[in-house]
Amino acid sequence: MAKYILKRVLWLIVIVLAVSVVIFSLMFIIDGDPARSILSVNASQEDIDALRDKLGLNDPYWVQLVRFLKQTFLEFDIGTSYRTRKPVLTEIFERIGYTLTIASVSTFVATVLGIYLGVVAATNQYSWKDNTAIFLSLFCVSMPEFWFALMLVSIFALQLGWLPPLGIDSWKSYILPCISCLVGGTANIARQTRSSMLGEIRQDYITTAKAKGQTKEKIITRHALKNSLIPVITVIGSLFGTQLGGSVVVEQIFSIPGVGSYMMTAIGFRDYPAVRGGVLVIAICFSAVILLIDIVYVLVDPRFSERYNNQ
Amino acid sequence: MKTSIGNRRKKTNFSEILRRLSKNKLAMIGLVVIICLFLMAIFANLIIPYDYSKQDYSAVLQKPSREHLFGTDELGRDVFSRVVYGTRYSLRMGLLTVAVAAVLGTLLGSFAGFYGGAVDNILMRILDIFQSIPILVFAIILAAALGPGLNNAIIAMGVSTMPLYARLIRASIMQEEGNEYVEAAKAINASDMRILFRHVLPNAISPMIIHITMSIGYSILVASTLSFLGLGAQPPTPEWGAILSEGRNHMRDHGYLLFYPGMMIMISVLSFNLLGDGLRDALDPRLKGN
Amino acid sequence: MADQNRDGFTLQYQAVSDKREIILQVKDLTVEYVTDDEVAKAVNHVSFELRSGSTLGLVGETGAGKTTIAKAVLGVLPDVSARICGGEILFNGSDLLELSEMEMQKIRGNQISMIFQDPMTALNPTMKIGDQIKEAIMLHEKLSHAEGEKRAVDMLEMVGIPGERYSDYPHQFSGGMKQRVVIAIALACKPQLLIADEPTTALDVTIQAQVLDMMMKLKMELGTSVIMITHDLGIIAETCDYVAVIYSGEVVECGTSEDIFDYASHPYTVGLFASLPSRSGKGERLKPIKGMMPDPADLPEGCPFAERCPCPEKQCFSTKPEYLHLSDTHIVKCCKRWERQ
Repeated sequence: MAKYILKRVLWLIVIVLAVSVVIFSLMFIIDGDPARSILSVNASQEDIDALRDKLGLNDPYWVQLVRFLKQTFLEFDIGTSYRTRKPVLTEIFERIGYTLTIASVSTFVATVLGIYLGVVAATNQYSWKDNTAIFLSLFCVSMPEFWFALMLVSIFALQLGWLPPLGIDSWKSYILPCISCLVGGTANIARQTRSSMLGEIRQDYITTAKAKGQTKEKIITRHALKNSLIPVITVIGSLFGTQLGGSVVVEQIFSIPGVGSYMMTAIGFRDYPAVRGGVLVIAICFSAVILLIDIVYVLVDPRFSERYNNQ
Repeated sequence: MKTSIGNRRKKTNFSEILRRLSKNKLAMIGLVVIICLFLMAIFANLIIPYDYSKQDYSAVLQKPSREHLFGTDELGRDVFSRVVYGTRYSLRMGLLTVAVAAVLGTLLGSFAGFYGGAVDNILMRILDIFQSIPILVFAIILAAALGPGLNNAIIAMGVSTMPLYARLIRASIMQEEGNEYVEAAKAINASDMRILFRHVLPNAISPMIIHITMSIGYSILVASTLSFLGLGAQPPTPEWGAILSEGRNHMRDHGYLLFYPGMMIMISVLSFNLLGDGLRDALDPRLKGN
Repeated sequence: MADQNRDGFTLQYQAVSDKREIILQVKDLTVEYVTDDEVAKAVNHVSFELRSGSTLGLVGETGAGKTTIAKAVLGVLPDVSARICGGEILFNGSDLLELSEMEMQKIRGNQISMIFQDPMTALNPTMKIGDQIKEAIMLHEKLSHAEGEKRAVDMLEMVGIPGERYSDYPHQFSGGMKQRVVIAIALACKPQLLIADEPTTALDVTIQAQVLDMMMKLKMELGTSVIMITHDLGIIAETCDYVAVIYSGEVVECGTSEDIFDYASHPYTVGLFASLPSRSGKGERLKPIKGMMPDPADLPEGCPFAERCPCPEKQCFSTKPEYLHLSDTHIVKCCKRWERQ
């Protein structure tokens, strides 16, 4: 087990390195000139060239890449934002709390709610509860997150005035962003849980449990639930990724100073170090959660832990 | 009982699938709406009462009325005409994205799945790397790198969703690989390509069809998100996400500017998802659990 | 195999008193499976009885409805699709079909239990095997957890698995070992009636004999009555006192083992024996029964076996045959006037 975790952590490092290279290369081909964005519109060509030189933007691809990797991974310095002139790492640390809070809260609530709805639907197959759950979850999966967020703001903040429309002042400010993030996720988890549960309750071992004289409720909770949640665990990981991605949109709409909005502003400004930093941090968070999920998976399913212990 | 199930499985051909699909009401509703959407896109010019880009400063930000079903925007353009015309862009983005992703994914996935070993390992590790960035973030960065615009957004979305297809195809191929008919084909010395295209791929296709239908909906969603962020279709193109992005400034007093385009996105995504669900049940009744 | 065992069998049968009380009586049981587009008549007016301490074999080909009968007795048919349309299942005199779900739960695993066909899928893959046995015990007996655990260990050892393996998971076991666990679960509460649904079909031939021997030994020790479902006439010969031959959801012939093995009368039963390889070594051709069993969703008007019968008569295709008593114990369902030779 320890060996498996070690292997996965090493692989995580490889992934982070590779992601850095990919992001660096994408930023390299992006059109537009950061020097022009930094300087005022009527700056002379000489000034621009001088700044480009200073930022090292005129160096060939390989030189820039190696310099970037060396800085990032040996000196742990992602660079200084072109726009704010502050170290990117500091800025991201100030902001990541908002992003992670929203992503974690909405993933957590979506998981709990989704599993509950999925189990209710599966155990009442073909009933009105099931039909409502199926249709409602399809509805929610099909809804654009940003549109739902806009509608929430329009109704609960602007029309009714119950909750703040923008920024983060108190815990109340988290309500609307979290709701807009978790609706799609809940629906997704509910759908997965339902189909996985329906698969499990038709397995032979459920008949065995029934033949023992076990009650229906206990058969669901003691036997079917655990086994049907095993495939759902992996969905939770990717859901967290979706929430991190969604933060870009939701933070824009609610003007939340998180990593997502930081990255979007940076993209508009051609602020390469900031974009790289943002993507890198998001990729690290995402991969770490996936790693965590995989470890949970191995712990929960004895068939897998066996395999890894033998390795 | 077992014999009757056996017989039924043999009957699983095209007409049987269609018959099962046609009995699924929700899927049929989805299909009808999709057909309507396509008709709307094709005959957009005949349906719209006003030119979608005609500005009319005498009728700015009007509430929905008989003249302007969905109202007018800040430039006095008829929102109904824009939304109807926007069907073209949204459907195009959805379909082309899926086409790009499916082709790239199938190629990658079938090579990985079929050759296995080192090829498979390397390709899958590369996909791991791509997938460690959330899809939306990756699409945004890619779209930004390629430059804003419809076609670039399509490529960006296609590439970022491609790993899902690759994995799906690879998994079904791995599963089919173990079957005896592939062994049999190998035994009579059929070439790799022949086995791949004639024997393995056709059998791996049904999960693919389900995934494609479902992901057209998803692609329309992501496309509208990109346009909303200003990285997809650019104004004044009446793509639904772009219309929403423009209407956002007036959401305090003119909520209808946001409501209708959003509903259109949701209705079209929902229809593709309904059809996809129905196809899944029809193609693989075991999943339905009857 | 049948030939070899016949004498031993007859002896065993005669040694058993006929006056044993009837523990299970199935009367006129009819079960249908309903799907979106058709109704499959899986079990049609099946009647049989089982005496305390005896073993009844249900024999027939795959899809004849044997498992459905067993699941109906235990009340574990899938509730979505299966429908019991009529009949009675009298267990110790009370009709199981009339009981509430709560009352059935008290009987299942306690007084009636079942061994399933495929040990590979019959155990919960993520639960310790010991806990799966313990669950069955704790449901019906008021024991502390420690006592329950001890009983589960005893059960494991009774079926020949060392008690230390209590905490293992099913995937760590071979097929034969898993089937032993399934048997341990079934016998954990010393049931009066054990239904064994093809208990050895999924196992290797070498393991089959072991598991079967063990089952029969435990049966003797616990005094359990057994319904043995199988398509293997060899197993029937080795283990059963009574036999009911099931075809297309009907009992076409039933009687003591002696009746069936020595005086097989229904053309289907005769066909079953003819399709077995003989041990005499003369190298005769096997005589398979031609054709297939009718689709349960589309049963013929007359005798279900008429299509495949080697000597059908006109009336076989139009009228359902009646039961015919060949002796006190031997019944056959055929239009022809069979005489017991």
